[in-house]
Amino acid sequence: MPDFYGQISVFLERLARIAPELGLATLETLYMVGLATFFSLLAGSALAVLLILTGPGGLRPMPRLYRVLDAAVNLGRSFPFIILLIAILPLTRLIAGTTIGSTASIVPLTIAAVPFVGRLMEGCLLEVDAGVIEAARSFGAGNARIIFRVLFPEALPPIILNAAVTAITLLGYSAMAGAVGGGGLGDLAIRYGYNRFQMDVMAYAVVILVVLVQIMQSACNFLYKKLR
Amino acid sequence: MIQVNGLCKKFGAHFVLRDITLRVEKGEIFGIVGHSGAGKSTLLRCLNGLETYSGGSVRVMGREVGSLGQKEMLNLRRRMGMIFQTFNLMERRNVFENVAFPLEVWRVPKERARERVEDLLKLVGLEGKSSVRPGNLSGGQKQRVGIARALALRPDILLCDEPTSALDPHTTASILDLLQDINERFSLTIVLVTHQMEVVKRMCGRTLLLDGGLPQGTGETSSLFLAPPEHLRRLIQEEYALLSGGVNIRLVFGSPVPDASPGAAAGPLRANSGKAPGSSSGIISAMARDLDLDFSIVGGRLERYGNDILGFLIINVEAEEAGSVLEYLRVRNVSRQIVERPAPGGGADA
Ligand SMILES: Nc1ncnc2c1ncn2[C@@H]1O[C@H](COP(=O)(O)OP(=O)(O)O)[C@@H](O)[C@H]1O
Ligand SMILES: [Mg+2]
Repeated sequence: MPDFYGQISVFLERLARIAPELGLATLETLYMVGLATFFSLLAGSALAVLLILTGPGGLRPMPRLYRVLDAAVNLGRSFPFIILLIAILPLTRLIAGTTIGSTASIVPLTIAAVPFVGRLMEGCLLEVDAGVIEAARSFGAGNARIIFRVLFPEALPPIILNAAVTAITLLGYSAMAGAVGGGGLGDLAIRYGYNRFQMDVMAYAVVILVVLVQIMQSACNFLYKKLR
Repeated sequence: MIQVNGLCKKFGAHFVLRDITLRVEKGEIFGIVGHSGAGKSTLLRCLNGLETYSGGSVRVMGREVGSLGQKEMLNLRRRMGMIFQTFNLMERRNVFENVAFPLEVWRVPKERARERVEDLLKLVGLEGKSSVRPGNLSGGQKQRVGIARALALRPDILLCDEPTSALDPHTTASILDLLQDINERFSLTIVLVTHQMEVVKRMCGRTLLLDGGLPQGTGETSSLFLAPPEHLRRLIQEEYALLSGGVNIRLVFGSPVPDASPGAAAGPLRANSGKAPGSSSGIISAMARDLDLDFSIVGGRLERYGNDILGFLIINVEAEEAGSVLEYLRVRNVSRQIVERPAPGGGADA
Protein backbone atom coordinates (compact mmCIF):
# COMPACT_ATOMS: atom_id res chain seq x y z
CA MET A 1 0.00 0.00 0.00
CA PRO A 2 2.74 2.55 0.68
CA ASP A 3 3.50 2.29 -3.01
CA PHE A 4 -0.03 3.43 -3.83
CA TYR A 5 0.17 6.46 -1.56
CA GLY A 6 3.53 7.19 -3.06
CA GLN A 7 2.07 7.26 -6.52
CA ILE A 8 -0.76 9.55 -5.40
CA SER A 9 1.68 11.98 -3.86
CA VAL A 10 3.85 12.02 -6.98
CA PHE A 11 0.72 12.63 -9.03
CA LEU A 12 -0.41 15.49 -6.81
CA GLU A 13 3.05 16.99 -6.80
CA ARG A 14 3.22 17.06 -10.59
CA LEU A 15 -0.31 18.43 -10.80
CA ALA A 16 0.55 21.18 -8.34
CA ARG A 17 3.62 22.05 -10.40
CA ILE A 18 1.67 22.24 -13.65
CA ALA A 19 -1.52 23.79 -12.20
CA PRO A 20 -0.56 27.50 -12.57
CA GLU A 21 0.35 26.91 -16.19
CA LEU A 22 -2.88 25.00 -16.82
CA GLY A 23 -4.86 27.81 -15.23
CA LEU A 24 -3.12 30.44 -17.31
CA ALA A 25 -3.63 28.45 -20.50
CA THR A 26 -7.32 28.03 -19.68
CA LEU A 27 -7.70 31.78 -19.22
CA GLU A 28 -5.90 32.41 -22.50
CA THR A 29 -8.21 29.99 -24.27
CA LEU A 30 -11.29 31.61 -22.80
CA TYR A 31 -9.95 35.03 -23.79
CA MET A 32 -9.26 33.98 -27.39
CA VAL A 33 -12.45 32.05 -27.87
CA GLY A 34 -14.58 34.62 -26.05
CA LEU A 35 -13.41 37.59 -28.06
CA ALA A 36 -13.29 35.72 -31.36
CA THR A 37 -16.86 34.48 -30.77
CA PHE A 38 -18.01 37.99 -29.92
CA PHE A 39 -16.40 39.61 -32.98
CA SER A 40 -17.48 36.86 -35.33
CA LEU A 41 -21.07 37.03 -34.08
CA LEU A 42 -21.07 40.78 -34.76
CA ALA A 43 -19.50 40.55 -38.20
CA GLY A 44 -21.39 37.37 -39.03
CA SER A 45 -24.71 39.02 -38.15
CA ALA A 46 -23.91 41.92 -40.44
CA LEU A 47 -23.07 39.45 -43.19
CA ALA A 48 -26.29 37.53 -42.54
CA VAL A 49 -28.32 40.75 -42.76
CA LEU A 50 -26.74 41.50 -46.13
CA LEU A 51 -27.49 37.96 -47.30
CA ILE A 52 -31.17 38.01 -46.31
CA LEU A 53 -31.72 41.57 -47.57
CA THR A 54 -30.28 40.90 -51.00
CA GLY A 55 -31.26 37.25 -51.32
CA PRO A 56 -34.19 35.88 -53.33
CA GLY A 57 -37.45 37.02 -51.74
CA GLY A 58 -35.51 39.38 -49.46
CA LEU A 59 -36.58 42.84 -48.41
CA ARG A 60 -34.28 44.39 -50.99
CA PRO A 61 -33.35 41.74 -53.59
CA MET A 62 -30.04 42.38 -55.40
CA PRO A 63 -29.30 39.10 -57.19
CA ARG A 64 -25.83 39.99 -58.37
CA LEU A 65 -24.53 41.16 -54.98
CA TYR A 66 -26.14 38.12 -53.38
CA ARG A 67 -24.34 35.76 -55.74
CA VAL A 68 -21.00 37.39 -54.95
CA LEU A 69 -21.59 37.24 -51.19
CA ASP A 70 -22.85 33.70 -51.41
CA ALA A 71 -19.76 32.54 -53.31
CA ALA A 72 -17.46 34.41 -50.91
CA VAL A 73 -19.09 32.72 -47.93
CA ASN A 74 -18.70 29.29 -49.50
CA LEU A 75 -15.07 30.03 -50.33
CA GLY A 76 -14.39 31.24 -46.79
CA ARG A 77 -16.00 28.18 -45.30
CA SER A 78 -14.11 25.73 -47.46
CA PHE A 79 -10.69 27.13 -46.48
CA PRO A 80 -8.91 24.75 -44.06
CA PHE A 81 -8.29 26.71 -40.87
CA ILE A 82 -4.63 25.79 -40.55
CA ILE A 83 -3.94 27.17 -44.05
CA LEU A 84 -5.95 30.32 -43.41
CA LEU A 85 -4.00 30.80 -40.22
CA ILE A 86 -0.71 30.94 -42.13
CA ALA A 87 -2.07 32.71 -45.21
CA ILE A 88 -3.24 35.74 -43.26
CA LEU A 89 -0.16 36.14 -41.07
CA PRO A 90 0.63 39.56 -42.61
CA LEU A 91 -2.90 40.76 -41.87
CA THR A 92 -2.62 39.41 -38.33
CA ARG A 93 0.62 41.37 -37.81
CA LEU A 94 -1.06 44.49 -39.19
CA ILE A 95 -4.02 44.24 -36.81
CA ALA A 96 -2.50 42.74 -33.67
CA GLY A 97 1.09 43.97 -34.04
CA THR A 98 2.41 40.43 -33.64
CA THR A 99 1.73 36.93 -34.92
CA ILE A 100 2.43 35.09 -31.67
CA GLY A 101 0.29 34.73 -28.59
CA SER A 102 -3.38 34.63 -27.80
CA THR A 103 -4.20 38.21 -28.85
CA ALA A 104 -2.78 37.56 -32.31
CA SER A 105 -4.82 34.34 -32.56
CA ILE A 106 -8.06 36.26 -32.24
CA VAL A 107 -7.58 37.63 -35.77
CA PRO A 108 -7.50 34.33 -37.71
CA LEU A 109 -10.11 32.79 -35.41
CA THR A 110 -12.54 35.64 -36.10
CA ILE A 111 -11.87 35.66 -39.82
CA ALA A 112 -12.35 31.91 -40.06
CA ALA A 113 -15.64 32.08 -38.15
CA VAL A 114 -17.32 35.00 -39.94
CA PRO A 115 -18.52 33.12 -43.04
CA PHE A 116 -19.56 30.22 -40.85
CA VAL A 117 -21.54 32.46 -38.49
CA GLY A 118 -22.95 34.41 -41.45
CA ARG A 119 -24.41 31.23 -42.90
CA LEU A 120 -25.79 30.00 -39.58
CA MET A 121 -27.40 33.36 -38.83
CA GLU A 122 -28.82 33.60 -42.34
CA GLY A 123 -30.50 30.26 -41.67
CA CYS A 124 -31.92 31.49 -38.34
CA LEU A 125 -33.28 34.70 -39.84
CA LEU A 126 -34.80 32.88 -42.80
CA GLU A 127 -36.69 30.68 -40.36
CA VAL A 128 -38.75 33.66 -39.20
CA ASP A 129 -42.25 33.28 -40.63
CA ALA A 130 -42.70 35.33 -43.81
CA GLY A 131 -46.21 36.18 -42.63
CA VAL A 132 -44.86 37.96 -39.56
CA ILE A 133 -42.61 40.07 -41.79
CA GLU A 134 -45.55 40.81 -44.05
CA ALA A 135 -47.62 41.90 -41.05
CA ALA A 136 -44.87 44.28 -39.95
CA ARG A 137 -44.66 45.70 -43.47
CA SER A 138 -48.43 46.08 -43.58
CA PHE A 139 -48.48 48.67 -40.85
CA GLY A 140 -45.59 50.64 -42.17
CA ALA A 141 -42.45 49.21 -40.57
CA GLY A 142 -39.32 50.00 -42.61
CA ASN A 143 -36.56 47.52 -43.33
CA ALA A 144 -34.38 48.56 -40.39
CA ARG A 145 -37.27 48.09 -37.95
CA ILE A 146 -38.10 44.75 -39.45
CA ILE A 147 -34.52 43.53 -39.11
CA PHE A 148 -33.88 44.73 -35.58
CA ARG A 149 -37.35 44.60 -34.04
CA VAL A 150 -38.78 41.55 -35.78
CA LEU A 151 -36.16 39.27 -37.31
CA PHE A 152 -33.48 39.23 -34.62
CA PRO A 153 -35.85 39.13 -31.62
CA GLU A 154 -37.98 36.40 -33.18
CA ALA A 155 -34.90 34.37 -34.15
CA LEU A 156 -33.13 34.83 -30.80
CA PRO A 157 -33.47 31.26 -29.45
CA PRO A 158 -31.89 29.55 -32.47
CA ILE A 159 -29.28 32.32 -32.59
CA ILE A 160 -28.28 31.42 -29.03
CA LEU A 161 -27.87 27.77 -29.99
CA ASN A 162 -25.73 28.77 -32.94
CA ALA A 163 -23.60 30.96 -30.70
CA ALA A 164 -22.80 27.78 -28.77
CA VAL A 165 -21.92 25.96 -31.97
CA THR A 166 -19.66 28.85 -32.94
CA ALA A 167 -17.89 29.07 -29.57
CA ILE A 168 -17.30 25.32 -29.52
CA THR A 169 -15.99 25.27 -33.07
CA LEU A 170 -13.67 28.15 -32.21
CA LEU A 171 -12.49 26.25 -29.15
CA GLY A 172 -11.36 23.48 -31.48
CA TYR A 173 -9.74 25.98 -33.87
CA SER A 174 -7.99 27.69 -30.94
CA ALA A 175 -6.20 24.44 -30.18
CA MET A 176 -4.93 24.44 -33.76
CA ALA A 177 -3.85 28.06 -33.43
CA GLY A 178 -1.95 26.87 -30.38
CA ALA A 179 0.11 24.63 -32.65
CA VAL A 180 1.70 27.68 -34.25
CA GLY A 181 2.36 29.51 -31.01
CA GLY A 182 -1.08 30.88 -30.42
CA GLY A 183 -1.15 30.23 -26.69
CA GLY A 184 -3.90 28.56 -24.69
CA LEU A 185 -4.65 24.95 -23.87
CA GLY A 186 -3.83 23.64 -27.33
CA ASP A 187 -0.44 25.27 -27.20
CA LEU A 188 0.18 23.76 -23.75
CA ALA A 189 -0.93 20.30 -24.81
CA ILE A 190 1.40 20.33 -27.78
CA ARG A 191 4.39 21.80 -25.97
CA TYR A 192 4.25 19.30 -23.07
CA GLY A 193 2.48 16.30 -24.54
CA TYR A 194 3.78 16.17 -28.09
CA ASN A 195 7.20 17.76 -27.72
CA ARG A 196 8.14 16.54 -24.24
CA PHE A 197 6.08 13.35 -23.93
CA GLN A 198 4.39 14.55 -20.72
CA MET A 199 1.16 12.77 -21.51
CA ASP A 200 -0.46 13.69 -18.22
CA VAL A 201 -0.28 17.42 -19.08
CA MET A 202 -1.86 16.74 -22.43
CA ALA A 203 -4.60 14.74 -20.69
CA TYR A 204 -5.36 17.61 -18.30
CA ALA A 205 -5.60 20.04 -21.19
CA VAL A 206 -7.99 17.73 -23.01
CA VAL A 207 -10.11 17.21 -19.89
CA ILE A 208 -10.39 20.96 -19.41
CA LEU A 209 -11.40 21.41 -23.07
CA VAL A 210 -14.08 18.73 -22.67
CA VAL A 211 -15.41 20.42 -19.54
CA LEU A 212 -15.45 23.82 -21.28
CA VAL A 213 -17.46 22.42 -24.17
CA GLN A 214 -19.96 20.89 -21.76
CA ILE A 215 -20.37 24.13 -19.86
CA MET A 216 -20.86 26.23 -22.99
CA GLN A 217 -23.40 23.86 -24.47
CA SER A 218 -25.37 23.52 -21.24
CA ALA A 219 -25.41 27.27 -20.68
CA CYS A 220 -26.74 27.89 -24.18
CA ASN A 221 -29.32 25.12 -23.90
CA PHE A 222 -30.51 26.64 -20.67
CA LEU A 223 -30.80 30.10 -22.26
CA TYR A 224 -32.56 28.63 -25.27
CA LYS A 225 -35.23 26.98 -23.12
CA LYS A 226 -35.64 30.09 -21.07
CA LEU A 227 -36.02 32.42 -24.04
CA ARG A 228 -38.23 30.31 -26.24
CA MET B 1 -61.79 55.45 -50.69
CA ILE B 2 -60.30 52.94 -53.09
CA GLN B 3 -60.51 53.12 -56.86
CA VAL B 4 -58.90 50.41 -58.96
CA ASN B 5 -58.93 50.74 -62.74
CA GLY B 6 -57.80 48.10 -65.22
CA LEU B 7 -55.31 46.62 -62.76
CA CYS B 8 -52.99 43.94 -64.18
CA LYS B 9 -50.36 41.94 -62.37
CA LYS B 10 -47.89 39.53 -63.88
CA PHE B 11 -45.55 37.07 -62.21
CA GLY B 12 -43.01 36.49 -64.96
CA ALA B 13 -45.02 36.07 -68.13
CA HIS B 14 -48.05 34.75 -66.30
CA PHE B 15 -50.99 37.07 -65.61
CA VAL B 16 -52.23 36.68 -62.04
CA LEU B 17 -54.62 39.63 -62.24
CA ARG B 18 -56.14 41.01 -65.39
CA ASP B 19 -58.19 44.12 -65.94
CA ILE B 20 -59.56 44.48 -62.42
CA THR B 21 -61.78 47.47 -61.83
CA LEU B 22 -63.45 48.15 -58.53
CA ARG B 23 -64.47 50.96 -56.27
CA VAL B 24 -64.78 50.86 -52.50
CA GLU B 25 -66.75 53.60 -50.76
CA LYS B 26 -66.00 54.98 -47.35
CA GLY B 27 -67.52 52.94 -44.55
CA GLU B 28 -68.62 49.95 -46.60
CA ILE B 29 -67.58 46.31 -46.31
CA PHE B 30 -66.47 45.26 -49.75
CA GLY B 31 -66.00 41.58 -50.54
CA ILE B 32 -63.56 39.90 -52.89
CA VAL B 33 -64.44 36.26 -53.31
CA GLY B 34 -63.04 33.44 -55.41
CA HIS B 35 -61.47 30.04 -55.20
CA SER B 36 -57.97 29.53 -53.95
CA GLY B 37 -55.38 30.71 -56.45
CA ALA B 38 -57.81 33.21 -57.98
CA GLY B 39 -55.51 36.11 -57.17
CA LYS B 40 -57.41 37.53 -54.20
CA SER B 41 -54.42 37.94 -51.89
CA THR B 42 -52.37 39.45 -54.67
CA LEU B 43 -55.13 41.97 -55.39
CA LEU B 44 -55.40 42.88 -51.72
CA ARG B 45 -51.63 43.30 -51.44
CA CYS B 46 -51.66 45.67 -54.40
CA LEU B 47 -53.94 47.96 -52.39
CA ASN B 48 -51.33 48.65 -49.69
CA GLY B 49 -48.32 48.38 -51.93
CA LEU B 50 -47.03 45.08 -50.55
CA GLU B 51 -47.15 43.97 -54.17
CA THR B 52 -46.25 46.02 -57.23
CA TYR B 53 -48.50 45.92 -60.27
CA SER B 54 -47.78 45.71 -63.97
CA GLY B 55 -50.55 47.90 -65.35
CA GLY B 56 -53.60 49.95 -64.53
CA SER B 57 -54.17 52.21 -61.61
CA VAL B 58 -54.73 51.76 -57.87
CA ARG B 59 -55.81 54.91 -56.07
CA VAL B 60 -56.23 54.76 -52.31
CA MET B 61 -57.43 57.83 -50.46
CA GLY B 62 -56.68 59.89 -53.53
CA ARG B 63 -53.12 58.70 -54.10
CA GLU B 64 -51.74 56.42 -56.79
CA VAL B 65 -50.13 53.58 -54.81
CA GLY B 66 -47.63 52.62 -57.51
CA SER B 67 -46.06 56.07 -57.66
CA LEU B 68 -45.53 56.65 -53.94
CA GLY B 69 -42.03 57.17 -52.63
CA GLN B 70 -40.76 54.98 -49.83
CA LYS B 71 -41.75 57.34 -47.06
CA GLU B 72 -45.18 58.12 -48.49
CA MET B 73 -45.75 54.40 -48.88
CA LEU B 74 -45.09 53.79 -45.18
CA ASN B 75 -47.42 56.65 -44.33
CA LEU B 76 -50.14 55.16 -46.51
CA ARG B 77 -49.74 51.77 -44.83
CA ARG B 78 -50.04 53.46 -41.49
CA ARG B 79 -53.58 54.36 -42.48
CA MET B 80 -54.41 50.82 -43.65
CA GLY B 81 -54.54 47.93 -41.19
CA MET B 82 -54.31 44.34 -42.32
CA ILE B 83 -55.29 40.97 -40.84
CA PHE B 84 -54.40 37.52 -42.08
CA GLN B 85 -55.63 33.95 -42.29
CA THR B 86 -52.60 32.74 -40.33
CA PHE B 87 -52.75 35.68 -37.86
CA ASN B 88 -49.01 36.36 -38.27
CA LEU B 89 -48.34 37.27 -34.66
CA MET B 90 -44.87 37.43 -33.19
CA GLU B 91 -44.46 34.27 -31.14
CA ARG B 92 -41.90 35.69 -28.75
CA ARG B 93 -43.98 38.72 -27.81
CA ASN B 94 -47.03 38.49 -25.60
CA VAL B 95 -50.47 39.80 -26.55
CA PHE B 96 -49.81 43.28 -25.23
CA GLU B 97 -46.46 43.59 -27.00
CA ASN B 98 -47.92 42.33 -30.26
CA VAL B 99 -50.67 44.93 -30.23
CA ALA B 100 -48.19 47.60 -29.16
CA PHE B 101 -45.78 46.85 -31.99
CA PRO B 102 -47.24 49.20 -34.63
CA LEU B 103 -47.28 51.97 -32.01
CA GLU B 104 -43.64 51.22 -31.24
CA VAL B 105 -42.75 51.39 -34.94
CA TRP B 106 -44.39 54.81 -35.20
CA ARG B 107 -42.78 55.98 -31.97
CA VAL B 108 -45.96 56.63 -30.04
CA PRO B 109 -44.96 57.62 -26.47
CA LYS B 110 -45.01 54.66 -24.08
CA GLU B 111 -47.77 55.91 -21.80
CA ARG B 112 -50.15 56.76 -24.62
CA ALA B 113 -49.36 53.46 -26.32
CA ARG B 114 -50.19 51.57 -23.13
CA GLU B 115 -53.60 53.23 -22.86
CA ARG B 116 -54.30 52.59 -26.52
CA VAL B 117 -53.41 48.91 -26.23
CA GLU B 118 -55.59 48.48 -23.17
CA ASP B 119 -58.54 50.10 -24.96
CA LEU B 120 -57.98 47.85 -27.96
CA LEU B 121 -57.80 44.69 -25.87
CA LYS B 122 -61.08 45.68 -24.26
CA LEU B 123 -62.60 46.33 -27.68
CA VAL B 124 -61.71 42.85 -28.96
CA GLY B 125 -62.59 41.15 -25.69
CA LEU B 126 -59.12 40.14 -24.56
CA GLU B 127 -58.76 42.02 -21.28
CA GLY B 128 -56.68 39.99 -18.89
CA LYS B 129 -54.78 38.23 -21.67
CA SER B 130 -52.09 40.93 -21.91
CA SER B 131 -49.18 38.80 -20.85
CA VAL B 132 -50.13 35.57 -22.64
CA ARG B 133 -48.00 34.41 -25.57
CA PRO B 134 -49.85 33.78 -28.87
CA GLY B 135 -48.87 30.12 -28.64
CA ASN B 136 -51.26 29.73 -25.71
CA LEU B 137 -54.27 31.32 -27.42
CA SER B 138 -57.04 29.74 -29.48
CA GLY B 139 -57.41 30.60 -33.16
CA GLY B 140 -60.24 33.02 -32.50
CA GLN B 141 -58.25 34.77 -29.78
CA LYS B 142 -55.25 35.05 -32.07
CA GLN B 143 -57.37 36.70 -34.73
CA ARG B 144 -58.67 39.11 -32.09
CA VAL B 145 -55.08 40.05 -31.32
CA GLY B 146 -54.52 40.50 -35.06
CA ILE B 147 -57.54 42.79 -35.26
CA ALA B 148 -56.41 44.83 -32.26
CA ARG B 149 -52.94 45.18 -33.77
CA ALA B 150 -54.38 46.23 -37.14
CA LEU B 151 -56.49 48.90 -35.45
CA ALA B 152 -53.69 50.24 -33.25
CA LEU B 153 -52.81 53.14 -35.54
CA ARG B 154 -56.49 54.08 -36.07
CA PRO B 155 -56.50 53.21 -39.77
CA ASP B 156 -59.14 54.38 -42.25
CA ILE B 157 -59.18 51.07 -44.09
CA LEU B 158 -58.91 47.50 -42.84
CA LEU B 159 -57.75 44.84 -45.29
CA CYS B 160 -58.74 41.30 -44.34
CA ASP B 161 -57.11 38.35 -46.10
CA GLU B 162 -59.20 35.25 -45.35
CA PRO B 163 -59.65 36.30 -41.72
CA THR B 164 -61.88 33.34 -40.83
CA SER B 165 -60.59 30.59 -43.08
CA ALA B 166 -58.61 28.93 -40.29
CA LEU B 167 -61.48 29.09 -37.79
CA ASP B 168 -64.40 26.84 -36.93
CA PRO B 169 -67.93 28.04 -37.80
CA HIS B 170 -68.76 29.24 -34.32
CA THR B 171 -65.54 31.24 -33.97
CA THR B 172 -65.98 32.53 -37.51
CA ALA B 173 -69.34 33.99 -36.53
CA SER B 174 -67.90 35.74 -33.51
CA ILE B 175 -65.01 37.25 -35.50
CA LEU B 176 -67.41 38.42 -38.20
CA ASP B 177 -69.60 40.02 -35.54
CA LEU B 178 -66.55 41.82 -34.20
CA LEU B 179 -65.59 43.09 -37.65
CA GLN B 180 -69.13 44.28 -38.28
CA ASP B 181 -69.20 46.03 -34.93
CA ILE B 182 -65.92 47.79 -35.68
CA ASN B 183 -67.14 48.75 -39.13
CA GLU B 184 -70.27 50.38 -37.70
CA ARG B 185 -68.68 51.95 -34.67
CA PHE B 186 -65.76 53.63 -36.37
CA SER B 187 -67.23 53.75 -39.90
CA LEU B 188 -64.10 51.87 -40.86
CA THR B 189 -63.89 50.83 -44.51
CA ILE B 190 -63.26 47.09 -44.80
CA VAL B 191 -62.06 45.08 -47.78
CA LEU B 192 -62.67 41.42 -47.07
CA VAL B 193 -61.04 38.68 -49.11
CA THR B 194 -62.32 35.15 -48.69
CA HIS B 195 -63.14 31.92 -50.46
CA GLN B 196 -66.09 31.37 -48.13
CA MET B 197 -69.25 32.41 -49.95
CA GLU B 198 -71.28 32.51 -46.75
CA VAL B 199 -68.88 35.08 -45.29
CA VAL B 200 -69.37 37.62 -48.09
CA LYS B 201 -73.11 37.02 -48.10
CA ARG B 202 -73.29 37.87 -44.47
CA MET B 203 -70.78 40.72 -44.37
CA CYS B 204 -70.47 42.52 -47.65
CA GLY B 205 -72.86 44.96 -49.26
CA ARG B 206 -71.01 44.68 -52.53
CA THR B 207 -68.76 41.95 -53.83
CA LEU B 208 -66.29 41.28 -56.61
CA LEU B 209 -66.12 37.72 -57.88
CA LEU B 210 -62.68 36.73 -59.03
CA ASP B 211 -61.65 33.62 -60.93
CA GLY B 212 -58.31 32.89 -62.53
CA GLY B 213 -57.30 36.52 -62.07
CA LEU B 214 -60.28 37.78 -64.05
CA PRO B 215 -63.22 39.71 -62.62
CA GLN B 216 -66.32 37.54 -63.10
CA GLY B 217 -68.93 39.86 -61.75
CA THR B 218 -69.38 42.67 -59.32
CA GLY B 219 -72.31 44.35 -57.64
CA GLU B 220 -74.73 44.02 -54.76
CA THR B 221 -73.89 40.79 -52.99
CA SER B 222 -77.51 39.68 -52.73
CA SER B 223 -78.25 40.13 -56.43
CA LEU B 224 -75.01 38.41 -57.31
CA PHE B 225 -75.86 35.32 -55.29
CA LEU B 226 -79.64 35.12 -55.44
CA ALA B 227 -79.97 35.60 -59.16
CA PRO B 228 -76.53 34.84 -60.51
CA PRO B 229 -75.96 35.20 -64.24
CA GLU B 230 -75.66 31.90 -66.01
CA HIS B 231 -71.85 31.80 -66.16
CA LEU B 232 -71.49 32.43 -62.42
CA ARG B 233 -73.61 29.61 -61.18
CA ARG B 234 -70.88 27.04 -61.14
CA LEU B 235 -68.42 29.51 -59.65
CA ILE B 236 -70.58 30.26 -56.64
CA GLN B 237 -71.34 26.63 -55.94
CA GLU B 238 -75.02 26.90 -56.74
CA GLU B 239 -75.47 23.59 -58.39
CA TYR B 240 -78.56 21.55 -58.07
CA ALA B 241 -79.40 18.26 -59.60
CA LEU B 242 -81.93 19.96 -61.86
CA LEU B 243 -84.72 17.78 -63.20
CA SER B 244 -84.31 16.91 -66.83
CA GLY B 245 -87.90 17.41 -67.93
CA GLY B 246 -89.91 20.61 -67.78
CA VAL B 247 -88.66 24.06 -66.91
CA ASN B 248 -86.76 25.02 -63.79
CA ILE B 249 -87.73 28.38 -62.38
CA ARG B 250 -85.92 30.19 -59.61
CA LEU B 251 -88.04 32.41 -57.38
CA VAL B 252 -86.25 34.99 -55.28
CA PHE B 253 -87.92 36.00 -52.05
CA GLY B 254 -87.20 39.24 -50.34
CA SER B 255 -85.85 40.67 -53.54
CA PRO B 256 -82.64 42.57 -52.96
CA VAL B 257 -83.93 45.36 -55.20
CA PRO B 258 -87.06 46.31 -53.26
CA ASP B 259 -89.93 46.66 -55.67
CA ALA B 260 -93.06 48.69 -55.31
CA SER B 261 -95.26 45.72 -54.60
CA PRO B 262 -97.15 45.96 -51.33
CA GLY B 263 -97.36 42.16 -51.31
CA ALA B 264 -95.93 40.86 -48.08
CA ALA B 265 -93.94 38.15 -49.79
CA ALA B 266 -91.88 40.36 -52.02
CA GLY B 267 -90.30 42.96 -49.75
CA PRO B 268 -87.04 42.25 -47.96
CA LEU B 269 -87.78 40.04 -45.00
CA ARG B 270 -86.37 41.25 -41.74
CA ALA B 271 -84.25 38.88 -39.77
CA ASN B 272 -86.55 39.10 -36.78
CA SER B 273 -89.84 38.95 -38.68
CA GLY B 274 -89.96 35.25 -38.00
CA LYS B 275 -92.37 34.59 -40.85
CA ALA B 276 -89.91 34.40 -43.71
CA PRO B 277 -90.49 30.78 -44.66
CA GLY B 278 -94.25 30.93 -44.23
CA SER B 279 -94.81 33.98 -46.39
CA SER B 280 -92.65 32.68 -49.22
CA SER B 281 -94.37 29.36 -49.30
CA GLY B 282 -97.65 31.28 -49.21
CA ILE B 283 -97.28 32.49 -52.74
CA ILE B 284 -96.26 29.05 -53.94
CA SER B 285 -99.29 27.28 -52.57
CA ALA B 286 -101.54 30.12 -53.72
CA MET B 287 -100.11 29.75 -57.20
CA ALA B 288 -100.62 26.00 -57.19
CA ARG B 289 -104.27 26.55 -56.28
CA ASP B 290 -104.93 29.45 -58.63
CA LEU B 291 -103.32 27.79 -61.64
CA ASP B 292 -104.37 24.28 -60.68
CA LEU B 293 -100.84 23.15 -61.20
CA ASP B 294 -98.43 20.43 -60.13
CA PHE B 295 -94.82 21.27 -59.53
CA SER B 296 -91.74 19.77 -57.92
CA ILE B 297 -89.42 21.58 -55.60
CA VAL B 298 -85.86 21.26 -56.80
CA GLY B 299 -84.11 23.16 -54.08
CA GLY B 300 -83.95 26.37 -52.17
CA ARG B 301 -82.35 28.19 -49.32
CA LEU B 302 -82.83 31.04 -46.91
CA GLU B 303 -79.74 33.03 -46.10
CA ARG B 304 -78.70 36.03 -44.15
CA TYR B 305 -77.43 38.91 -46.26
CA GLY B 306 -76.22 41.55 -43.86
CA ASN B 307 -79.28 42.18 -41.71
CA ASP B 308 -81.78 40.74 -44.16
CA ILE B 309 -82.91 37.19 -44.61
CA LEU B 310 -83.28 36.50 -48.27
CA GLY B 311 -83.89 33.28 -50.06
CA PHE B 312 -84.73 31.50 -53.24
CA LEU B 313 -86.64 28.45 -54.32
CA ILE B 314 -86.23 26.51 -57.54
CA ILE B 315 -89.34 24.73 -58.79
CA ASN B 316 -89.84 22.52 -61.80
CA VAL B 317 -93.01 22.79 -63.88
CA GLU B 318 -94.21 21.23 -67.13
CA ALA B 319 -92.94 23.10 -70.19
CA GLU B 320 -96.46 24.09 -71.32
CA GLU B 321 -97.26 25.60 -67.94
CA ALA B 322 -94.07 27.66 -67.69
CA GLY B 323 -95.57 30.67 -69.48
CA SER B 324 -98.51 31.03 -67.15
CA VAL B 325 -96.34 30.51 -64.07
CA LEU B 326 -93.94 33.25 -65.13
CA GLU B 327 -96.86 35.56 -65.86
CA TYR B 328 -98.44 34.78 -62.46
CA LEU B 329 -95.14 35.66 -60.73
CA ARG B 330 -94.60 38.76 -62.83
CA VAL B 331 -98.01 40.16 -61.90
CA ARG B 332 -97.22 39.58 -58.23
CA ASN B 333 -93.80 41.14 -58.55
CA VAL B 334 -91.80 38.10 -57.51
CA SER B 335 -88.28 38.02 -58.96
CA ARG B 336 -87.96 34.95 -61.14
CA GLN B 337 -85.48 33.44 -63.51
CA ILE B 338 -85.39 30.38 -65.72
CA VAL B 339 -82.51 28.14 -64.73
CA GLU B 340 -80.91 26.29 -67.62
CA ARG B 341 -79.37 22.95 -66.97
CA PRO B 342 -75.61 22.90 -67.45
CA ALA B 343 -74.65 21.83 -70.93
CA PRO B 344 -73.92 18.09 -71.24
CA GLY B 345 -70.22 17.46 -70.83
CA GLY B 346 -70.05 20.37 -68.41
CA GLY B 347 -69.36 17.84 -65.72
CA ALA B 348 -72.45 17.79 -63.52
CA ASP B 349 -74.50 14.74 -64.38
CA ALA B 350 -77.54 14.30 -62.18
N1 LIG C 1 -44.62 35.55 -55.56
C1 LIG C 1 -45.25 34.85 -56.52
N2 LIG C 1 -44.57 34.42 -57.61
C2 LIG C 1 -45.20 33.74 -58.59
N3 LIG C 1 -46.51 33.42 -58.58
C3 LIG C 1 -47.23 33.82 -57.52
C4 LIG C 1 -46.65 34.55 -56.44
N4 LIG C 1 -47.62 34.81 -55.53
C5 LIG C 1 -48.74 34.26 -56.03
N5 LIG C 1 -48.53 33.67 -57.23
C6 LIG C 1 -49.53 33.00 -58.06
O1 LIG C 1 -50.57 33.90 -58.28
C7 LIG C 1 -51.82 33.25 -58.23
C8 LIG C 1 -52.73 33.96 -57.26
O2 LIG C 1 -52.25 33.82 -55.96
P1 LIG C 1 -53.01 34.43 -54.72
O3 LIG C 1 -53.20 35.88 -54.93
O4 LIG C 1 -52.28 34.03 -53.50
O5 LIG C 1 -54.41 33.68 -54.78
P2 LIG C 1 -55.55 33.55 -53.68
O6 LIG C 1 -55.22 34.47 -52.54
O7 LIG C 1 -56.79 33.91 -54.39
O8 LIG C 1 -55.56 32.11 -53.25
C9 LIG C 1 -51.55 31.81 -57.88
O9 LIG C 1 -51.63 31.06 -59.06
C10 LIG C 1 -50.15 31.82 -57.36
O10 LIG C 1 -49.51 30.61 -57.70
MG1 LIG D 1 -54.86 33.98 -50.52
